[in-house]
Order: sequence, then structure tokens, then C-alpha cells
Amino acid sequence: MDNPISKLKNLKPLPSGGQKEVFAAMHIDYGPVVFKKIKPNKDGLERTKREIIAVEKIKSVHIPKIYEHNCESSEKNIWLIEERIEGDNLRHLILNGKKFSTAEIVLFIETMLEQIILSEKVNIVHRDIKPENIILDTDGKFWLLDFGISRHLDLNSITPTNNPFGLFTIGYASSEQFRNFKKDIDSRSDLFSIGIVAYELIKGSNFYMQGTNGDVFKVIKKLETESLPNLHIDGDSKFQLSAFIKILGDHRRNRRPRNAEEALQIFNAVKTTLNF
Amino acid sequence: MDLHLQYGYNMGPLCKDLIKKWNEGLVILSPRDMELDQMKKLSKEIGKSNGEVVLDPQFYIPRADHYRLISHSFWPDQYDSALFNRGDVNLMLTNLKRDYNDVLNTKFFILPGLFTNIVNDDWFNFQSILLEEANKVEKQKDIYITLCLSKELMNNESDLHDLLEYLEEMEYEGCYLVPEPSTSYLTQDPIWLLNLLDLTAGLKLKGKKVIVGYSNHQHLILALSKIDGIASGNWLNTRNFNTQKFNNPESGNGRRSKWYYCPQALTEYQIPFLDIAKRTGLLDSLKTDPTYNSNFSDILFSGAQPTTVNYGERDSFAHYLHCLKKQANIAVKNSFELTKNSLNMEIETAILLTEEFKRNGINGRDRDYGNIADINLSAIAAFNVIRGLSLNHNWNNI
Repeated sequence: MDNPISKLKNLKPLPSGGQKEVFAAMHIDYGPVVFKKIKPNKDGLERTKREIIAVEKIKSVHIPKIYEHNCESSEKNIWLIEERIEGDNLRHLILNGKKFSTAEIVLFIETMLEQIILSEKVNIVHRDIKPENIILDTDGKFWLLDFGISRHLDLNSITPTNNPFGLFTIGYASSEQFRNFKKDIDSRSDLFSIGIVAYELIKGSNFYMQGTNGDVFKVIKKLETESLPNLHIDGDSKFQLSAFIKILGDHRRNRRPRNAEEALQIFNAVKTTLNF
Repeated sequence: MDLHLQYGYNMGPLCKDLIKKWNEGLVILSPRDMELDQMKKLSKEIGKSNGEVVLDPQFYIPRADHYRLISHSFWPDQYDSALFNRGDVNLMLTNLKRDYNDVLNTKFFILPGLFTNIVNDDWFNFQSILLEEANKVEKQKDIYITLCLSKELMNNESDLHDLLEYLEEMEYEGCYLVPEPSTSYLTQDPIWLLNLLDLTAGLKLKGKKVIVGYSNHQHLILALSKIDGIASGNWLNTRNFNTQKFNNPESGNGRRSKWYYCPQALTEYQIPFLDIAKRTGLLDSLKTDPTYNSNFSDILFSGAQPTTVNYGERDSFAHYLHCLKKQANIAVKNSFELTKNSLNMEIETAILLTEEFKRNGINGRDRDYGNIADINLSAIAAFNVIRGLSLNHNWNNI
């Protein structure tokens, strides 16, 4: 394969971290792309491979394509070329004070549930749904990114079973996920995160982070003991959308919808009660 | 939702009468109150009236060595070793099947279950052994696990959800749930009631059959989780699980006092209060609507002073259970929303009636639904928030 750099132009660094360097660029064949250079640690190579597998298996028009990579030929200096989405991630939008309309909230939930339905079909749990990993593009379409810590239910887990904590983002992961209860992890963990992000889009802040001063242990305690409060949402006079977000983000896994398919069916019924 | 008969002391004739009247019904037999021969006889007679039986092994508190329970052949000699030894568990279940369930022609097989206030890996391992052996022993009938839960457990949402997580890993058809009440006969504790609703809904949404034993009319709200049945009986210790009944062989059946159940007020009244109703012109308002087709209490409304008529204990029990069955049978509606609205309306009606009766000196005392109506309304409202959407969606499939 040609050196990928040779087909990339206008490389501009994007926020990077850890083992990754990320650039926005124009590709001669693909147009706008994101170019990622990764120096993986012990588990990083396998996680990157799984991210690629996840995107290829799920095949969604709301998940950026991975055009090229060298995961099969290199172990130390990996690169990926991904579809670049013109838009902004939800974290930036929230920080900039964007007020999300009810129509946008509905579209967000619907899009995310559809992604989880597709993931369920190929036995993959995203495990890292959070504002940083969701883009609202310039056409008003939501995109789900970064399957870097996705759990492939039909592959062996990368995280050791005896780890007291699994991989997670504090404030967005369900308790079964951060406690590394592997047998309990399924798409209901993603449903939880969708509920938490939906709440944040409406209220402008993460409920489980509020009043904790960022103290991780306080957040964990709150996550395991408190439920999302009721929401007042424009056009939701029957409080059905509020109730739906509450059951998605319920800290008791057993009370969430049993899968994303069921969640979407309930959501379709909820939509008929909205007036916006 | 159906009402099953929870067998209590000396309840044989009552069971026969009711099953005959209904031409159907299920009796949950009690080895604590019956010898095997009595059970065989009753089972046969119940069968003649188109009824069915199941056996509750009542293995709740084996260490109590209740002399009537240990006299049954399925009871292990050494309960403490038998609990964790696969061979002994198998022996106990084999006896239960061969000598009891098969002989009595039970409808399904209820597994023994320990009264527990802790759910952890040990509990799960014990249940798993029990279930694995049961599946070897009983291959035809549906298997129901027994969950006999302490009031501490019933009040702990976190523990109950741990229980649901454990149960997700187990293969069984149904669950015979025996919750220890948190307070008195009618619970004053909305969290206990909410947790019971939440737990039963969790089980139903997993596709399990659910019967809640030792129930009373306050449990009619379990129609909201669309459980399959509640079981109730004659004495209070069959309408409310009481560990004392299984700890102390001589524990009696409480004060003997005749009560009249007024279904529209969801309240039981002692007969002297019906005298007051007669005096104040309200007796007709207490009368059970003819649609219940309960003739067991007609004599109280025949024109004579209620305390002077021959209204016996058995009439009182029969009337209560007959009305409760009618109420249970119509409690579940075509959707969760309709069921909730109907229950709320029933409770609001009971509030209006009990207030009116009280203003006229007619008091249900500690069985007055007016005392607990707000508890039930509160549990229903909270349950609607946490489970309403899911149940509404799944109503026709559970």
C-alpha cells in the first residue's frame, strides 16, 4: 500500500491525547477525512482492531466510515483514515450554551437507538456514549463515533475479569459497566448512556456530575443510588418523553427497556404524545 | 389475575365449598396444617369440582423443627447438611415429587425455598443446585421457585435488583413469591408495596409466571404488574406471611372475631359496626353489590340486627375470598394505563365510602382501607413512573 500521507493534504492537528495524534485533512480520493496516528500500548492494537471491526460490522450511515488502516500489517505505528464529519461534537455545543429543541432531542434519541439496534444485531456494545463522541453535523444529523472501548460479546474480553473497574467514562457509564460485571453488560448499558446524554442536552449538565465537585466516588455513589429527575420539555405535556428518558437512564438495569429494539418501539409510542 | 386459596387451619370445607361454587380454582396445600392423607382426600374432592391443587413445601425456616412439618416424609433428617448437598437435595425433591406432587396430582411443582434476608452468591448457588436437581427430577410439570423474602430485603431496592439479576441466569417457569410484610396486616409502608410491584414487574417482564402467596385485598394493586395470581385464605396468617406460624407450632390463629368484607370500601368491618350502620340508615351502602354473586353474607342484610343473625366465621371467610376472587379477576384491564386508572378509581371510591361510614360511626378499625389508601395511591403513582412505559408497551405479551 502507498504511504497514506502522500494522498493527504492540508493536515491540521485536532485535539489529541494519550496514544493518538489526530489530524483533519483532505484525501485525494475520499475528500474530507480524519487521519489518526496511534502508538498502541499493550491492549491498544487489539482495541483498534476491534474498533475497525465494529464499524465494518455495524454498517451505519450515522457512524463515520474507516476508509483505510494498517492494523493488519503493523503493531507499533498504526494509522487510520476515517470519514470526516463537518459539524461539532455535543460537548462543544453544550459548553457553548446551545439550547436543543424538542425536535433535536427526539432526533438524537431516535438516531442513537437505531445505532444500538444495529450494534445489538452484531453483538457489540459501544460502552462510551457521551457528548464528546457524538457529532451534530451541519445538516442537523447526529453521528456516533469512537468504538474504541466497544465490547464484542462474542469475543474474549480484553479487560481482565478480576479488575474491579471496567473501562468507562465517569458520569455516563452504568454501574454494571464501571463495576466490570461483564456478564451483565449488554446494550442496556448503552441505553443508560443515551438517557444520561439526553438529560444533559435538555438541562445543559450531567445530572450525576452535579453537586459532586468532580469527586469520582461521589459520582459513583450518586449513579448507584439516585434516579434522573423529571424533566419539563417543550411539547411534552404528558411527561412521556421525560418518563422515557428516566427509564433509559435508570440506574437499575432491570428497569430499562430489555433491548434497543424495545426501547425504539416504546419511543415511537412516546412520540405520538408529543406536540412540537 | 386470579385468586388462589392459601390453605389455612381447618380450611378444607371452605375450599370445597368455594371451588364447587366457582367450578374451578387452585388450592395451595399447606403441610403445616395437613397430613398427607388429608391432602390426598382434599385433592380428590377438589378435583371432582374441577379444581386443582399445588403443594407449598413450606421449607421456609427448617431450623425451627416445626413438628408437623418435620413429620412429612419429604422433610430431610438433617436440614443443615441437606441444604448444600446435591444428593440430599435430590432425595428431598424426589420424595416431594413421588410421594406428594404426583400423588396429589398437582398442577405445577413448587420448589422448597428458604426464608431469606440476604441475596448473594451463596444464595444463588443454593438456588442453582435446587433448580438443577429439580429439572432432573421433574421433567413434565412447570417448576416454580419459591422466593420467601424478609421484610428487610423487601425494603431494600438494591438487594431486590440484585435478586432480579441473579434470577436472570436461572431457568424456571414460575415464581411463588412469599414476601414478609413490613408492618401490620395492611401495610403502612409505601416503599414495601412499591418494591413488591417493582419485583413482580421485573419477573413478569422476564416472561415468568408469578403468584404472590399470603396476600390480601391490599395486594389487588399487583394487577399493575399483571401477575398471574394472589393467594389468600381464612385466617390472617394466610393473608399475611408470618414467620411465627412456622417457628412456633402452637401459634394460634389470632383473635376470633367475625368480620364482614365490604368490597366497594375495600374494608372489613366487625359485625357490631354493621349494627351501627343499620341504626344510622347506612346498612344498604355496605351491602355487597349483587354482581358479586356472594350469598354468603346475605343474612346480614335480611332486615334483622346484624349481630343477632347466624353469620358464622366460615361465612365471613367465604364471603371475603369470593369477593376477592371477583375483584382479582377483573382487576387487570386491556392496558397498563386502564388498569392503573381503574385501580385509582376503586381506591378513590373506597376513600369516599370509608370517610362517609366513619362520619357515621362505622369504623373498620385497623382494617379500614381509609388508613392505607394514600399508601396505595402513592405506590401506584411511583410505580407508574418507574415501570409504566415498559409495562404499557409489553402488556399484551406478559
